[in-house]
Amino acid sequence: MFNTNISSNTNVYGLSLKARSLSHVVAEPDHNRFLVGTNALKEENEVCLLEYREQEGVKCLSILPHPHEIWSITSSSFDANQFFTVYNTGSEFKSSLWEINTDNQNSLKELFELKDTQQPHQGMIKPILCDPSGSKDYVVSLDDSNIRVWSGIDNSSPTVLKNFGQNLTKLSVGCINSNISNQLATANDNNIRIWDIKSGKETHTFDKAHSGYIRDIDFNPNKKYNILSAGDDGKLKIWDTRHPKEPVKIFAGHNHWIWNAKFNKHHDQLIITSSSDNTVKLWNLYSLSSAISTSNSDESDNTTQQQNENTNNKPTGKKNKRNEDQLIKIYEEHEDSVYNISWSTSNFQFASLSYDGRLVMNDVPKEYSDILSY
Amino acid sequence: MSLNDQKLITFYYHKWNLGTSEFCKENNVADIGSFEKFLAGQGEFDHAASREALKKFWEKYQTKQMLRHQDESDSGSSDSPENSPSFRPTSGTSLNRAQSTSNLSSATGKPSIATGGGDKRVRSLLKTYYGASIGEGESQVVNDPMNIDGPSFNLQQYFEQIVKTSTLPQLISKDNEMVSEIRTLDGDMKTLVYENYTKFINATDIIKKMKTNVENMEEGMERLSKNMDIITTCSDKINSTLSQRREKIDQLSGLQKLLQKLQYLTALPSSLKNCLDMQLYSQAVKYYNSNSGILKQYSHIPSFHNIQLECDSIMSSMKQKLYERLVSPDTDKNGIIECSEILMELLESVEKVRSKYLDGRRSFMTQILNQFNSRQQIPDIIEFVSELNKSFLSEHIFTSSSFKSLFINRMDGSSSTQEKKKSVQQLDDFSKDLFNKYLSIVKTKLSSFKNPKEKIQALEIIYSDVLKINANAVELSTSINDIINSTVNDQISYYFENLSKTMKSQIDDMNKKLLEKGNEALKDNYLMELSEQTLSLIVGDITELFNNLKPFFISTTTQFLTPHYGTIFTKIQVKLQQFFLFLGNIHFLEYLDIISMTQNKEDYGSRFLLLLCTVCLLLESKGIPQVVQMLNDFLLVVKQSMTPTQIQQYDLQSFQAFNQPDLSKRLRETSQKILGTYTKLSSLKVEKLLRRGLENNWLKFKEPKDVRSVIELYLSELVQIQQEIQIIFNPSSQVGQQQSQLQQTLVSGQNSSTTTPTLSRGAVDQIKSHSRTHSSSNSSVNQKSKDQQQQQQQQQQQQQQQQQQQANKDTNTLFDKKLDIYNNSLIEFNWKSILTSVVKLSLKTYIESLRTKTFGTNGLHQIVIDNHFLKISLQDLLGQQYLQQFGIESLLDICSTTINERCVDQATIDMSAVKKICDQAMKKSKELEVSKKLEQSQQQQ
Repeated sequence: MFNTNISSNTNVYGLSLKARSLSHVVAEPDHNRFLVGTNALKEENEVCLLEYREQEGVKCLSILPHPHEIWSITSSSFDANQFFTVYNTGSEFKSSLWEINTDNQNSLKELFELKDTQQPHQGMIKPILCDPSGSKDYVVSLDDSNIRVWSGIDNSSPTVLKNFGQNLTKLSVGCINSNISNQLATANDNNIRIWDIKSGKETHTFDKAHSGYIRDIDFNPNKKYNILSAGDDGKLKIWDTRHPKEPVKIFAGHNHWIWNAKFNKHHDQLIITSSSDNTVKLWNLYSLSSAISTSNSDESDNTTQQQNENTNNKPTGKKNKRNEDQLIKIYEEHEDSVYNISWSTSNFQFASLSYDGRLVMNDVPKEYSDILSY
Repeated sequence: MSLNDQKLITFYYHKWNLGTSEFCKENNVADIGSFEKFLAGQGEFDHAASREALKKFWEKYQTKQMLRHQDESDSGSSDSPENSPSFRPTSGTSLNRAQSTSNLSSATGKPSIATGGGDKRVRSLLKTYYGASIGEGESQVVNDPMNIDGPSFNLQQYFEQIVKTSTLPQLISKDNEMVSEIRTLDGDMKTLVYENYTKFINATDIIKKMKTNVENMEEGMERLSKNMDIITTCSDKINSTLSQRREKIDQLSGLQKLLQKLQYLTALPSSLKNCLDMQLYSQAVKYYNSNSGILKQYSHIPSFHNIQLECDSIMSSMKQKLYERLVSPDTDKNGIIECSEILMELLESVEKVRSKYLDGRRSFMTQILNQFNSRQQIPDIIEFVSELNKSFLSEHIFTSSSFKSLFINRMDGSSSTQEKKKSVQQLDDFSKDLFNKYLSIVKTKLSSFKNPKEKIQALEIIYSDVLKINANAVELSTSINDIINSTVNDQISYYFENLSKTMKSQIDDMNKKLLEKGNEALKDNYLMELSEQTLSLIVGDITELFNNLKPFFISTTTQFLTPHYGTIFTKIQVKLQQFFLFLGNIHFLEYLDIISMTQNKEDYGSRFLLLLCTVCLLLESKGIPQVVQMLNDFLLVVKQSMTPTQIQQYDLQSFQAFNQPDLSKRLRETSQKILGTYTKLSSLKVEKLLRRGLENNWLKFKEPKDVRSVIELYLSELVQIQQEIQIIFNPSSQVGQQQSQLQQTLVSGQNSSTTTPTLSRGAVDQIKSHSRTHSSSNSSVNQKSKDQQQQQQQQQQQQQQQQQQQANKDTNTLFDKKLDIYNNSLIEFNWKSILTSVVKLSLKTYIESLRTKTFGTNGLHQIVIDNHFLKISLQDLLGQQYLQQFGIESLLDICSTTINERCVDQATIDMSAVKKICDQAMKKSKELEVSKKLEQSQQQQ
C-alpha cells in the first residue's frame, strides 16, 4: 500500500476483512501454505488458503466461506485439508473441524463440532491443539477454565476423554510438547502450568511468570525442557521446566502486548514475536539453543568451516554477533496490531497477520539464514 | 819522608827520562798512583814498593855506571878518552849532552858500526844489567853514531868528528872530562863488584845456616806426622763406636716428634668438641684446617682414618649447627656474619652458604613483617608505618650490607665476576621479594585506613625512608610509585564507593519519606522540595568527597605526591564521570528493573519514579554545573601547591576526563527513560480500570442511563496523576506555553551557572499557581460550567463533522497513532505531554480490549456514552487543541469505530441523548469535586 517494501513484490496479501487467526498448514510439507480466518461480526466471514512461493509471492488458492467470525484457526497435523476453527456465533464460542471439499475447492464441509454436551465450553475457546506427531489420537481444547482432551477424531465422533483444570481462571493458551509425550503447557492469567495429558495432573507450575496476562507459550521443538512465554507486559521469557522459579532469559522490547511468540522449528535460536504495538520482532537466542547444546562439536566444525569460507567477504565480528542473545530485527510493515504469526515450511520465512487483514511474509536476515542453513 | 827518599826522588827525576808509567812497568811497580804520590812527597805510608823500585833503579844505575867505568877504562886504553866523555852521572846534563851529541853526530853523517868487539861485550853486559830501560833510553839515539851512550856509537866517527870540529883546548878539556868520567865509572865498577861479592858471601852464609835448620825441621815433621796418625786412628775408633748409638738416637728423637704429633691428632676430636662446646667455632676451624691435610695423608691407617672420621663428623655436626644458627631467626646479626664466615672457611660452597644466609634473613625478616601484618588493630597508621620501617628497613640495610661484604666483596677476592653477579642477583631477588611483601603489608594496612591525612603522612614516611635506603633502585621507586598510586586510587575509589552507597541511601530515604507522607505528599510543594532536598544531599555528598580529597593536594615537605597530581586529578575526573554515568545509566535505571520485578507495588510507586526523574533532571541542570564549579575550585587549590611548570607538565588545565555535555545528555536520556517508565506504570494503573470495566456480557446489557463509574474512576485517577505531575512539571497551564518551568530553568542552567535563583522563582510560581487554581475552582464553578456548555456546543458541531469524515479519518489516525504512542523520547518534560502519553497508552489498551468483545445495542450505547464523556473530560483536562494535536482524539475515534464493528446490531445512536447524559455526569462530577474541595478546606480550617 504505502510501504515501498510491499509495493515492489507480492509478499503481502490483504484481506478485505478484519482478521485474527492464522495457521500454517503443517501437514503439507512441500508448500508454504497458510490458513487465514476473518474476524468480522457483520460481514460474511471466510477462510483463505494462501500459498507463498519463492518467486511469485503470496497467492490466494481458495476463499472458503465460513459461517461465523473466526477467532482462531488450527490446521490439523494429520490432514492438510482439515482444520479446526474457533468461531463466535454471537452468543457463544464453538469449535469445529472442517474439510476443504476436494471436488469443489471453494467450499467447506463441517466434519464435526467439538461439543461437550455434559459441560459446554465456557467463554472463549482458545486455539485447538493437535498432536504434534501428526496422529489423530487426540486433540485438546481450552476454554476459560477447562482443559478437554478429545478422542474419536478419526471416526468423527469426538468425545471428551478427560476434563481437567476446573479451578482455573482466564485460561489463555496451551502448547503440547513435541519431545515429551503427553506433556501439555497452559497459561492462565500470569501463571504457567504443565500437565500430563493422560493423568490430567499438574506436574509443574510457574506462578506469576509475567506481570501481566500471558498470551502465548511455546515449547522449544528441539529442547524438551525449554518453553517460552510472552504476554501483556511486553516481555518474552524463556523457562526451563526443571527450574521453574526464575526465567533463564528475558527479552524486553515490545511496547505493547505480545500476542504471539514462536520458536523456529529447526533453528530454535530464532524466535518471532508479534505485538499489538504493530511490530514483529525476531530474536536470537543462541545461548539456549539446541545448536549449542546438542551438536556442539559438529557445529563448531561446521561453523569454523563456514567461517573459513566466509572470511573473504564477511567480517569475523559477525559470527560473534550471531552468537549473542539479542534482537535481530524489527519488522514494521504492519499498521495495526499483529495478532498472529507463524513460521512457514521453509526454514527462514514467516507470516504475520495484523487485524486490518494484512498478511506479510518476511525473511530472516541473510547474515543469519546463511550461517544457519548448512 | 826520610832524607833517603828525597835523594831517591831527585835521582829519579835526574836519571829517568820517560813518564812514571814507563817506570812502573820497568820496575814492576803495581800502583802507579801511589808511586806518583810518592814522587810528589805526599804519601805517608805504603810507599815501600815505590821506594824499593827507586832503590832498584838506583842500584841498576850504579852498576851501569860501574860497568861503564870498567868499559871506559878498558876502551880508554885502546881508544881516546874523548871517546866516552858523554856518559856522566851528573845530574841534569846527560839529556842535553845527548841532544847535543846527537846534533853533532847528525852533522857528522853516518855512524860506523864496526867498532871494537870488546866495546860491544861490555855494552851488552851493561845492557843486560840495566835491562831494556837503558836500551830504551838510548833508543832515540840508536842510530846516532855520535852518541857515546848509544848502541850505534861509532868510535871512529866520533873521534874524527871531535878532532875535526874541536879546537885543541876543546879537545884537551874533552880529554880531561873523559878521563874523569872513566875514573868515576871505574870506581863505580869496583864498588859494584865488591857489593856483589859481599852479597854472595852473605848468601853462602845463609845457605849454610839454612842447611842446619832444615835438618832440625825434619825431625819435628816426623813427630808431627806420627801424632797425626795417632789422632786419626783415635777419631776413627770413636766414630765407629758412636755410630750405632747415633742411629738409635735419631730414631728415638724422630719417634718422639711423631708421638707428639700423634698425641695432638688424637686429641684433635676432643679439642674440637671442646671448641664446639665453648662455641669457639673459628678456633675449631683453625685446628681442623691445619690438621685435615695430615689426616687425609694418613687416612689409609685405620686409627688415623678413625680420627679423621670422628673429626669430620664433628665438623659436619658443627656445620649443621652453624647452618642452624645461620637460619635460625634467634641468632643475632654478628653471629650470622660469623657463622657464614666460618662456613666459608670450612670450604662450604659459597652458593649454599649464600642461599642459607638469605634464607635465614628472609625468614627472620618475614617474621618481622608477619608480626606487623598480624596486628589486627592499629591505632595509628603513621606510628605503625614508622615502626615497621624502623625494624624492617634497618634489618634490610644490615642484610644487604653484610651480604655485600660477605659474598660480593669478599676479602680473599676469590669469587669470580660471574659469581659476584650471581650474588648480586640473589640479593636483588631477595630484597625484591621482601620489599614486595613489605609493600603489600603496607598496602593492605593502608587500605584499612580511611583518614587521608594519616595516609598521606604514612605514604610520605615510606617514600622518604625507602628512598633513603636505595635511591637508585628504579624498580623499587616504581613499586613505591605503584603503592602510592594504588593507595590514592583506593582512597578515591573508596570515596566514590561511599558516594554511590550514600546515593542509594539518599534515594531510598527519599522513597521512604515519600511513602511516609502518602497522599499528603501531593500537598503544597512537597514533591519539589523533596527532590531539591535529595539533590542538595547528593551535591553535599560530592562536596564532602572533594573536601576529603583535598589533603592529597596540599603540598608536603617532600612533595612526593606532586608527580602524581596529574594522574590523581584525572582519576578523580574519571571517577566523577563514572559516578554520574553510574547514577544516570545504572543506578536510576536499576529502579526501573526493581519496579518491574517487584510484586509489591507499594515499595516503589510511580510517584517515586516521578521524583527520580525530577532528581535526574535537577542533577543535570543544577547538580552538574555545581560539580563543575567544585572541580574548578578544586583545581585552583591543586594549582596553588604546584609550580607553573608542573602545572604545564601534568596538564591540569582542562577536565579532559569529565565530559559535561555528554553527561548532561545522558542524564537527560535517563530522565526520559524514567519518565517513559512512569507513564507506562501510570497507564497500567488506569488501564486496569478500563479493562475490568469491559468484563461484562455486553450483549445483554441494560439500557445505559449514566456514564459507567469505571470511566469516572479512570478519569479521577488521571486527575490524580495530573496533580502529581503538575506539582513538578509545568504548573501554569497556559496552552501556548509548552515549555515547562523546569525546562526553562534547564535552559537557563545550561547558559549560566545561576540556576538557584531561577529555580526558586519557579518554585514560588508553582506555589502561587497552585493556590490560584484552588481559589478559582472554589469561586467560579458556575462560570466554568457555562464555559463548558459553550465548549460542548462547539464540540457537538465538531463531532458531527467528525462522524461524517470518520471513514477518511480511520486511515489517517492510524498513522498518527503509529507515530507517537510508544516513543518515550517524544514525551516532553511538561505535565500535558506526560499525561497525554498516559492517556494514549491506556486508550490503546482500551481499544485492544474492545476488539475482543461483542456488543449489543445497549452495550454500544453505553460505550458511546462513555467515550463521549471521556472526550469532554479529557478536553477539559488537556484542552481541545492538545487532544487533536497529540492523537488522543484519533484514538477515541478508533474506539468508536471499533465498537461499531463489534456491535451485533446496526444501531443508530441518538447523540443528543448521549450528550445529555454526559453533561449531567460532568456536572455531577464537578459538583463532587467542589464538595470534596470544600470538605478539604473545611478540614484544613
